[in-house]
Amino acid sequence: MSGMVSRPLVRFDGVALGYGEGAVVENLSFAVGGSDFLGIVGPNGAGKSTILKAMLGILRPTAGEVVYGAEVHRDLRFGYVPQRYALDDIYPLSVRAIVRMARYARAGLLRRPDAEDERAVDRALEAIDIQGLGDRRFGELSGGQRQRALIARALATGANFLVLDEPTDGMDFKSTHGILGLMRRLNREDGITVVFVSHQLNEVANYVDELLVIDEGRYDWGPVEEVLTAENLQRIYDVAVAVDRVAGSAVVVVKR
Amino acid sequence: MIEMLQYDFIRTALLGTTAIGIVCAYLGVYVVLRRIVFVGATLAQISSAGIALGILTGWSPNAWSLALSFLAVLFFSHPSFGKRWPQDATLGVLFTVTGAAAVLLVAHTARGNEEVVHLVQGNLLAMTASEARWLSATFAGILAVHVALFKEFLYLSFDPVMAATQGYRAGRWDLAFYLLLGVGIALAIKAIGILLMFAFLVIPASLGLVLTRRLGGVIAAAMVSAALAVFLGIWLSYRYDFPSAPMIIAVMGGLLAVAAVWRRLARS
Repeated sequence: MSGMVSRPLVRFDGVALGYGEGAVVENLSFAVGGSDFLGIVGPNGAGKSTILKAMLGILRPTAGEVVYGAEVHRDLRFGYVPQRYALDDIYPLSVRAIVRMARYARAGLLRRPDAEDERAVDRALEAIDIQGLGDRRFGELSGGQRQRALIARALATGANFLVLDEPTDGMDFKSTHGILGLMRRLNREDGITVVFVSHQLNEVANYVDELLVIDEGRYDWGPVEEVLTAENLQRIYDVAVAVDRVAGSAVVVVKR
Repeated sequence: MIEMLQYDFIRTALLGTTAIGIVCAYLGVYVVLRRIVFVGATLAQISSAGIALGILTGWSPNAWSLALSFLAVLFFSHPSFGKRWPQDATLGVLFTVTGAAAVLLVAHTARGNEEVVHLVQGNLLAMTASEARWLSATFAGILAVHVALFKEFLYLSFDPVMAATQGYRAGRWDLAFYLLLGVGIALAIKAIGILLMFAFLVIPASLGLVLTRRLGGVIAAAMVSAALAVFLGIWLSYRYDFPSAPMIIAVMGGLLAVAAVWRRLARS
């Protein structure tokens, strides 16, 4: 638990989360500062997506509290990118129509998005380099293209804090690194805070600055080089692991 | 074809059924896209039990239908619906139990069997002029609210979690959606019956999705096909002496089949 955040935008203080009677996560404390790039890694069912929902304020902790260091919706503007499988292909919507949804809240009740909203949609498509996909039907896109469309939608909200749920799940090698590289570019070049969850420790560890590794109630949070040690990972995952470097990249393997 | 328009009762049935049909076709696009077709069927069945209660007690069937529909809407839009128990199993239980209740409630009334038939297939040609007018006005109101809140209903249907991160109260929007649907079904069920109501919610929307690739086109195709099916269905029932509601459904089914064949041919 060695993370260092000077002025946190979001801070979890001894947070417990769950649905109904069972707790998914207990006594979790970590923080995310401005322009941080944090990966939350753990196996399926570890509570990663639940942590994101609490961060976004749509799930209340059963204990502890989530504290915001800036006014939400004004200074702290979340852009959420759901798992692409969570969205139904049956909707006959173009990429542009889906990105435009990000502007609905700004337009307000009984009003249609205006020219400024359309320009924001253009900028978001351009930032992710998918201008050519605007008229394509969302359900016809590849996994990587869909993920880019959803990131564009998150940016179109005017977000300065991106929260992504399993953005590389089920993707091939090239698409995975394309999306991770895109997130790193948005973080480095545009100063956008990025938090995402994944269960692919090896891929995530080589892109992010900070890691939160979680499994069955055990967790560690901090800079990658501090969290990514054999001792830590062995404690969290309860299996013997080795951490090595290959061609400059960290590689975690289970010892046989 | 025009000859049938000389009769007041046919003009009345055309007005009322067309108004219900095109608005239900619009609502049906959401019902199909949200994959809640069986919710629509169950709401219709529950409303019919309300009509049966009204027939039995002699109190306003529409008020009973609205009351039961409202309770069902509260249940369906509750966040826990479908979480602790499979949603389709709950809907199946409600569908069969309220369907049986409707039949049992009217079985010993003066016109028992006839009432059961009317609950299932409606009695379009018995619609009064005032009934057709207030049904048309009510359904126009439902459509106006839906169109005014188009972007909100679309967003909350497609991605409620993302919408919630932007401050939308997903639960309240769900309740509003189900309320509009429930009110429409409850008020129309006495006039058009369960079968036609369910058909209006499913077939035109399916036809729109088969024919076009844009949401606006799907909605337009659904509404136009519903209106066309009402006109052709009532004409065929007048011309060949068949019950009108099943004939409208048969026409809608035929249009859907033609659309599916056309799409297959267009692709090959």
